[in-house]
Amino acid sequence: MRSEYMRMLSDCEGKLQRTAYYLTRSQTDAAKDLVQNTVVRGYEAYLRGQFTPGTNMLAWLQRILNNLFLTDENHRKKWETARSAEAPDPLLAVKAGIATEPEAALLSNIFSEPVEKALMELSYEMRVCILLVDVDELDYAQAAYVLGIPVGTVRSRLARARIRLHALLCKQEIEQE
Amino acid sequence: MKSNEMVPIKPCKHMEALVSSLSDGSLHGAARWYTMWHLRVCSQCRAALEGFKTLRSRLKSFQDAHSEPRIGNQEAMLKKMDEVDKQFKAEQGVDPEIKCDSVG
Repeated sequence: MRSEYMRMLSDCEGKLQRTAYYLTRSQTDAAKDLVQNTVVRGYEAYLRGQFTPGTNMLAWLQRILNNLFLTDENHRKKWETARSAEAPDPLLAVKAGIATEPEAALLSNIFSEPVEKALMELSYEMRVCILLVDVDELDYAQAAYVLGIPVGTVRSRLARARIRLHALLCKQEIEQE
Repeated sequence: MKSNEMVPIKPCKHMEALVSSLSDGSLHGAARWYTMWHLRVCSQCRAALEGFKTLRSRLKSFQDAHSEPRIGNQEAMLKKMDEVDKQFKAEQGVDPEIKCDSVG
C-alpha cells in the first residue's frame, strides 16, 4: 500500500510543497510541517480506502493540506487573540500568516520576484484560488472540491483575485519607474 | 501607457467572472456565447481579456521557475508513516503491505 501511495505522491509532492510555502507565507518550517502532516494524514486516509482510484490525487491531497492549514490558522488566531490582549505585537501576525495590509506589504519585501511579491499581498482566499487554478492547473471543479465551496464561488473569487494580482503588479511596475 | 501590463484589468462589473473564465478556457455554452457577444461591443472587456491572458502567461513562467521543491525531512515523515502502519495493523489485523499484495 505504502509503495503505491508513495508512487502516486511523487507526482504531487512538489506542488504540495509549493502550495504550503505560499499559504504559510514562506515560513519554511511551517510549510514542511504542513506537507508532512498532509502526506501522513493522506496515507492514513488512503489505507482506509478514502481515496477513490482514478480520481485526481493532487486535488485530494490539496484538500487535506488546505483543511490542515485552516485548522492550524484557527488555532493560531485564537492564540494570537488571547496573546494580543496582553501585549499587541504586529510582527506576530505577520509570522502567523494573518498579516493585515501594511504588514503584508512589509512581508512582501522579503520576496524579490514581482509575481511572488504580489501573490503574498493577496488574502488567503484569493491566493489559494490563484495557486490551485493558475499555478497547479486544477480545473474549477477540482479547486471547488479542494476548498469545499461551490464552483461559482471559485469562478468569481478567482476573477477578483486575478484583477487584484494584476493591479498589484501594475503598482509595482509604476513604483519601479 | 508603456505596455499591456501597465493597464489595470477593469471589465464591466457584471462581466468580471465571465471574462476571467473565458481567458482560461473554462467558459462554455450560453455563458461563453454571451461573453463573446459582449466582447464584440465592449472595448473595456476586450482589454480586460488581454490583461487576464497576460497575467496567466506571467503566472505560467512563474510556475515553471518555481516548480518541484522537495519535502524537507523525509526521515521524520517515514517514521510517522510507520506509526500509521502499526496503528492500521492493530486496528484491522491486516498488514498494509500484505493488503497491497492481495489487491495487486
